[in-house]
Amino acid sequence: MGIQLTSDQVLALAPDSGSAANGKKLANPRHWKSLGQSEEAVWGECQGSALYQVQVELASMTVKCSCPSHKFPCKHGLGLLLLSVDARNVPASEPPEWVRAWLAKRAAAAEQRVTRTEQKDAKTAPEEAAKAAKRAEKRLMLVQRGVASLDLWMSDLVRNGLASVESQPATFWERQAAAMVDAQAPGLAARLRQMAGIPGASRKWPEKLLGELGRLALLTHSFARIEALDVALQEDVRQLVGWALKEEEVGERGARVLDDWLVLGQHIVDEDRGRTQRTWLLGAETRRPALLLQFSFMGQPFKEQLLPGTAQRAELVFWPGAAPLRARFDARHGELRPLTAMPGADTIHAALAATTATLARQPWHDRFLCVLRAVTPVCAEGGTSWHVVDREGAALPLVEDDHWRLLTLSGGTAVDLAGEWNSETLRPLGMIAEGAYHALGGAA
Amino acid sequence: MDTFVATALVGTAQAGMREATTGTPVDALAAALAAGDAERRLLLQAGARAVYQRAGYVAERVESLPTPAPQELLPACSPAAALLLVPLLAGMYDDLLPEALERLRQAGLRLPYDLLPAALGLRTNALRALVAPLLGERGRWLAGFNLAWSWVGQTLGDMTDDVPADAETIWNEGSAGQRVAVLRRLRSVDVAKAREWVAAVWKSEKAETRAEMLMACEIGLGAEDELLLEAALDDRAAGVRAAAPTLLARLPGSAFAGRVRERADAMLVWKDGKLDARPPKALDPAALRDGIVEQASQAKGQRAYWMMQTLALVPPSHWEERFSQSAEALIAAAADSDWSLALLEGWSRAALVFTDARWITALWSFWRQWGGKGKRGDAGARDELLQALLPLVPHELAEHFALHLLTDPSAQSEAEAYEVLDALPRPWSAAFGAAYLQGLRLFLASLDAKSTDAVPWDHTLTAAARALPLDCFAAALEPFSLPEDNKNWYIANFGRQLETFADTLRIRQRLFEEIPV
Repeated sequence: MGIQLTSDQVLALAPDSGSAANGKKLANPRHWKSLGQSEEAVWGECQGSALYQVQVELASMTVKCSCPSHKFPCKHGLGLLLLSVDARNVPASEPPEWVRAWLAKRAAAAEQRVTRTEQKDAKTAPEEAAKAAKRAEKRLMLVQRGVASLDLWMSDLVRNGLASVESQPATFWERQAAAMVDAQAPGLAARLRQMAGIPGASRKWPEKLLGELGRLALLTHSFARIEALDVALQEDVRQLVGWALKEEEVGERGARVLDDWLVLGQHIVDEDRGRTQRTWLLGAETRRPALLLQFSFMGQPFKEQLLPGTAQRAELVFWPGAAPLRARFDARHGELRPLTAMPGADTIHAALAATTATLARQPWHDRFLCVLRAVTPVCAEGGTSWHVVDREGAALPLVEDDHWRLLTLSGGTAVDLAGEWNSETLRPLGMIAEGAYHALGGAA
Repeated sequence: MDTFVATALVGTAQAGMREATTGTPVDALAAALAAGDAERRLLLQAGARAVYQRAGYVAERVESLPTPAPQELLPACSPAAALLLVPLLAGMYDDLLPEALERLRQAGLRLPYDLLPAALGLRTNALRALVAPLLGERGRWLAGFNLAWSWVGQTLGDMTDDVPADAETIWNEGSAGQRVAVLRRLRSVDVAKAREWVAAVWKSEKAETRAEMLMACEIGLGAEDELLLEAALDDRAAGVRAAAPTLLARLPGSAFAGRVRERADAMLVWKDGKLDARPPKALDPAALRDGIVEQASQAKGQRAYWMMQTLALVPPSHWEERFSQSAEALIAAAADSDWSLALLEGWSRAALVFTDARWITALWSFWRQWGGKGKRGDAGARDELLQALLPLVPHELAEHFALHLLTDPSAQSEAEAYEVLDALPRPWSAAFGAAYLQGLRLFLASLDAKSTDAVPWDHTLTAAARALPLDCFAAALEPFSLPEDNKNWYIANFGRQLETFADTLRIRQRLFEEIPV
């Protein structure tokens, strides 16, 4: 039994390099007064400044420790997991009382969440519903007014020419974005903020900016005649404009997919006030891609442990839409298993065709999971130009970065690669070499 | 830039009324739009065009693929060993890296692929030489892709005795470094040909290259090199002139060795069991040509300095034969002389130039107990020579001295214990390691709240953590007991040194376990 993870995968959970180093120090039975594991959990008592009780629920990799550290997982948790990589370190046994109590509490809490939602549904009185409808109507009007002003602003831009925006300060975009926030359309605001970085950033910026403005215009155009759209696409348009779905709304309206979900790769982006973690999964049977987004503000840990290079029987629920990509775990069933193969497209042409099909259903998607079988990494010009090439000679450029690890692990031969494609460059996220998964990049 | 983007860039107001087209099927879609303002139409067209381009992305073509890396000949080290090496390669505990790399080499292992970019990024020549044989086929293959990693080929080339097949081409067309490297290799297999090479190009080379080529004569040094070396004494470049004397001195039959011996013989006379030193009163041009430097350094008189330099170029055994006295007797006599420092320093340097083990040991034993003549600079010169001789002294003697420094309270003025421990060959012998640990525990037991320093044990733990042999690990990792007094800064500081000591030792222990030799 034991966890079937590699040390690298465990270390990827560490919130920072200091925790990783300390965890490694504690990965020695010498520090542990007791150790044990069952089907559901591993646990141990670690002798630090006091005796700490450390436990990990295996299905979700949730770590609990009695130490006062605000790091998550703390060094004790990491130490315990690192120890468990070698099953011989951790004897199988009956969980002690403190572990049983915690597991029972977690199970009860999960159940309660379900019943609470049901109760809430039952309680919603008619007057509540009326109030909510009124609020919704008010918001709709606000958004419609905001969208109208945005359309005017965009038309002005194009009338006066995009050349003028290169010299505009950042406030030029920010002011319009703030207006969209006031109009309760945060999705539109986010798109405007992204556009602020385009002018002058590359040689092709006019074309890029025009494309983004155009896609925004398509969105406002679609919003104005939303009733004419397909129901699923209506969901997309509302979410893109800024109606965020509540967890239970996703649960009610989103599709549930039970599969063997393969965690193919992860990428963490630092943003103003926190970090965004983008994790790409692929269903082994359904071949559906899924994007799990997690946000962390002010250095808080990500809520759910998602380990690249693992596979798990689980049910995902997708945000409703015409070509759903974003999802979250609804229930994680089996144990985490190491990933040893990645099902993917045999040619770059086939991978691009899948992207095209997705765009045909939902034209605002920006990033796609791209799993390529048997591609060869090619490095040119001393490491400044990178591609992956399939057996037909078709090539995708890699994102501007250092890809030496990918090249090293490939050894000049074809490998299976998972990456994030943004219609310009591919960001490698994970690969299989000699039957073993290796995470690439993302380990910020 | 196409006209569609250009229209947007200048603005529809400037572009006039003519309709912008994208030249794609998007135009047909735009035609279906209700008539509206030109700006809105352009934006929607731009949006559709952007989606069209994304959806219709055409892959590039790359025709030339890299040659695959050859099959590995060595197995990789274990994943656990790799995990230990990651922080070492990243610069943490980096003075443990040489030992770990050396162990991998002894075990016949290579680095796993994951570590190769970090290993190729190592910066010092010493570490590069250690890591180069561990890169495996994959590492050598990888190094070919990045100019910053071109050191790999050179380092590996330097390490083999084989002369590469294209040696002649490298000699004629390579960089200065490559040329000297290939010359050194050739000297070890075909010294006659190497001499021909140098003779043919000597006059046209730059001064730095001439000096390097001269230095290469140390490999396979022989009488046939004399001509070139002797001529180098008249070279116009100081760097070339400076390289010649010690090499010429090591050619026993050379005219140079004869001249220097003659000069030295005139300086030393053995009379009635005493050594009479007669340093020259002036420096003649011939001595100047032979590399004796005129400028006296501080604290040494000009005459003493000339004598010291001259003696440094004569094999010490010469004096045993000439005066029929043992090295010890000669050293004792020199110590009594008025010119003791110059004599003994000259002999010490000569013992190092000619690697005379007997003299090294005898001189080192002398310096150990020498208190100086009370002159400024005496102690400094003594410490410097002790450090220089130490690595060549028999291990047992050196360790015995170190122990004496640590445990004999009267020895503390002789040398800094931590410096001597640092210079000891690693690993220490098990006996010395055990004695060190025993002494350390006794010292700890002697500490109390009133202790005001940790001399001579202060800072010795750094050397000990790196040099203790495996046999001593268990004893070293037994917990240490320090007086429970957090207010005493010295005790607290030593406590921190002990923690680092134990941490470092544990890493070494894990390395030993994970890289079995």
